[in-house]
Amino acid sequence: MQESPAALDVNALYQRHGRSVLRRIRRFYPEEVAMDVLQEVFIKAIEHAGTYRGDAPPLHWLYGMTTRHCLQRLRDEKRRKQLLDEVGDVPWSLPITHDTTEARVFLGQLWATVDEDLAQIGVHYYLDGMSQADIGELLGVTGRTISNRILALQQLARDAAGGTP
Amino acid sequence: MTPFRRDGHLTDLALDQLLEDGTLEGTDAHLESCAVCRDRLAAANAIELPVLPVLPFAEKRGLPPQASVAAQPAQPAAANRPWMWAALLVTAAAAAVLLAVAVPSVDEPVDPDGIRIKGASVGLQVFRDEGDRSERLRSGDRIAAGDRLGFRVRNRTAGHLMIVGVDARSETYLCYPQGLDGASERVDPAPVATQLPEAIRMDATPGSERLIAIFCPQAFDYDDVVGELLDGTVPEKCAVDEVVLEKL
Repeated sequence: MQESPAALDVNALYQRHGRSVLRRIRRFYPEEVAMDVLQEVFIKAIEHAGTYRGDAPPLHWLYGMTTRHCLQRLRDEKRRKQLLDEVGDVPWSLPITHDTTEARVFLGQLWATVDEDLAQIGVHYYLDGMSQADIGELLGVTGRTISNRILALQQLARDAAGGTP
Repeated sequence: MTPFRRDGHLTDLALDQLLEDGTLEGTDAHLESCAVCRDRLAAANAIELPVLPVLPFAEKRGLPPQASVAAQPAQPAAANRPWMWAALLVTAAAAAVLLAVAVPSVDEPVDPDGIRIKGASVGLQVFRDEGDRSERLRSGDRIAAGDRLGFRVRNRTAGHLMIVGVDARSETYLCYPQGLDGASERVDPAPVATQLPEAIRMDATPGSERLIAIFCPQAFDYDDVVGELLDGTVPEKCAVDEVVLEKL
């Protein structure tokens, strides 16, 4: 683990962060599927390498990309209704909580119907428990933008729950 | 970005950073006091992840992706979907991606067959003791004669550890463990970088100062490894990590 700057190629990304990416994938997919998804994520990393701005660690960029890819993939698998319904809890994450109406509605069905940006924000907020500021930093937008989008998500959740606060 | 969730526990992303780097600013105190996050970190470290198949390109640093294709064919046995690696290869060639950004380089050794040696890795951190505080030093940082340097080491598996210094005159010296017999020390797995109990003080020889952690599955002696380190090679079945400082 040399600390000197070095040119980053995709192979270096993969070697250094592959295990972290795989752990993130396992949050959404069971072990038997995770390696396939890993390959898909690194294809995306190559295709979208130009979107990395260099103002955050590459792991943060990969983490966001992996989350988004897993969500897109899950949404394409129309048989799924509940986010994480086959994986459940993983031992390195805190247990999934459904202790608010919003979280319950989002993790139940809403994640599959809102736009992809909002779905990703919701996952970071309700599943990962990240702060609005940190989500904004991860996604490269302001915390204010995230705040507004979460307010919108909360309204959608309330509407979906039939107005239950 | 903070390493904490809204409920005060560490984020999953912070756990990943801890496992990759061995340390993450602001997390030490939390880990000391939070058994939940300690258990999560241990679980993340212990989970059996498959050995990652080697990407079929750019295996050798400095070669353009196309140039390394012939040398590194896809390895079907390691991948669930070999065709995907082929697609990756094509995409890689088309993209010709080499991002010119600064990141730490790879710390995982690769054996001659191109398969990563699972778990056989070591991460070295060097700190300058400044009395009531310590400053982490990274390659390229400057030090001076008389500086007191300490070490933290991270290793995924149990093994045998030694830290060796090489000064600008190619003189080698033992940094850790500082036993008279020059033997390596057996260490338990340390997913988070662990402070070593011994430090060194810099002499007055100016120039480049290499500090090299050597981590091997079997016990070894100082004399066993210094020759290879001077040659720039890695002792067989061992992993090394190096911090190079500039002594004024």
